[in-house]
Amino acid sequence: MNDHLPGRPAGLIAALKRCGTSLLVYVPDSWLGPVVDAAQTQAGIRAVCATREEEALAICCGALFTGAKSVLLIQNVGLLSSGAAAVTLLNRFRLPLLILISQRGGLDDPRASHIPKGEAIRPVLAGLGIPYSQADPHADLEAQVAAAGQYVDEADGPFALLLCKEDLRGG
Amino acid sequence: MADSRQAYIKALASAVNDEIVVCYLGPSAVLWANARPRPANLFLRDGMSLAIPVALGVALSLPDHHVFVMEGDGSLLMHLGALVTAGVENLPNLTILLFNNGIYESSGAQWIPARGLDYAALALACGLHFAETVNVAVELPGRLQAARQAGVTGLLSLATEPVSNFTPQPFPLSPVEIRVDFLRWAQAARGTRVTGAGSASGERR
Repeated sequence: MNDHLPGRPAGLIAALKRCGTSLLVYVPDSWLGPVVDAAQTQAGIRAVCATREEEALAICCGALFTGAKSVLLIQNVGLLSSGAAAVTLLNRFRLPLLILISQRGGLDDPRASHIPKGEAIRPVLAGLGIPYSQADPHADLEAQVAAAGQYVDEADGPFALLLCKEDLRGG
Repeated sequence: MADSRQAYIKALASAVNDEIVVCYLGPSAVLWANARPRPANLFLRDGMSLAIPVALGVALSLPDHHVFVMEGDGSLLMHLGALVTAGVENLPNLTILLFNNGIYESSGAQWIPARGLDYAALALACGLHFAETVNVAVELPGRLQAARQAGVTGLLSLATEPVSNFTPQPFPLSPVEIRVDFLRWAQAARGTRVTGAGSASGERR
């Protein structure tokens, strides 16, 4: 159950279940902790912790090759270090991967160590050819994650949803 | 002198029945495609260092099917963490076949940074519960059987003769064909319908 989760992270988990997610692969980040903890208790979702984000992306791709639904949950800096897997697996085979990214380094996270990651993520996603959007903090998150899940199905390709602190930790 | 990659591929072909085979980049893909053309093959054709995690995702999603994944020593060294994750998940339906020839064969036979590593010992240290070195190809079928019977994720380090005359050859399948062929097989194996990728081959939903 998600009873212990604040509203927006609980909505994220609910959306993953609505989308039929069977595999969630993640690399920890302090913002991601509550969602990871909740995902590990969800019936029907297997949560796997990888040693780095490029590996996590590749595990997700393996599941997608079989037709299973997988979701990647990482910090933005992890996407920056996953370029090779993104182009050789996601782009080359056009795999429908939903990528949920903690968007560190914004106004809700003005720390010198994170700001460069926040600045770099959008141009890198664009350069990799991965469509993306920042979740609207004023709109229902469950609906937005579900829409992102529908996007990857309809586009038959990847999509990244950037999430703020409140989306992942509930403010 | 160690056996050739071709000898190991031939031995693997004689041992494989309905197992999934995930094939990394380099000469193994073409050799395997010619030795055992079948829909349960997944050819990555690139993605150096990513074959083991891709195979882990396949094995997680198809727990009733055994997965053999081919990887090279140079490729494994790019991402040793993959062994750690494989050890933690410890799926009984995953066996890693590591071609250990000490060189980057596809790129012109440059030596990898460290020669003579004991990859079986390394795998055990990374948390795998079954890892052995295979010194001759004729032993491979028996060691594959032992690895499967161990009921854990295993690694077989195949002592392989390095060669310096690798010539890239055209691969018979495009990425879309590789994905669609494998997806159709996987979904038939699971008893589900093909969606998504079917549109890539003209089957729009």
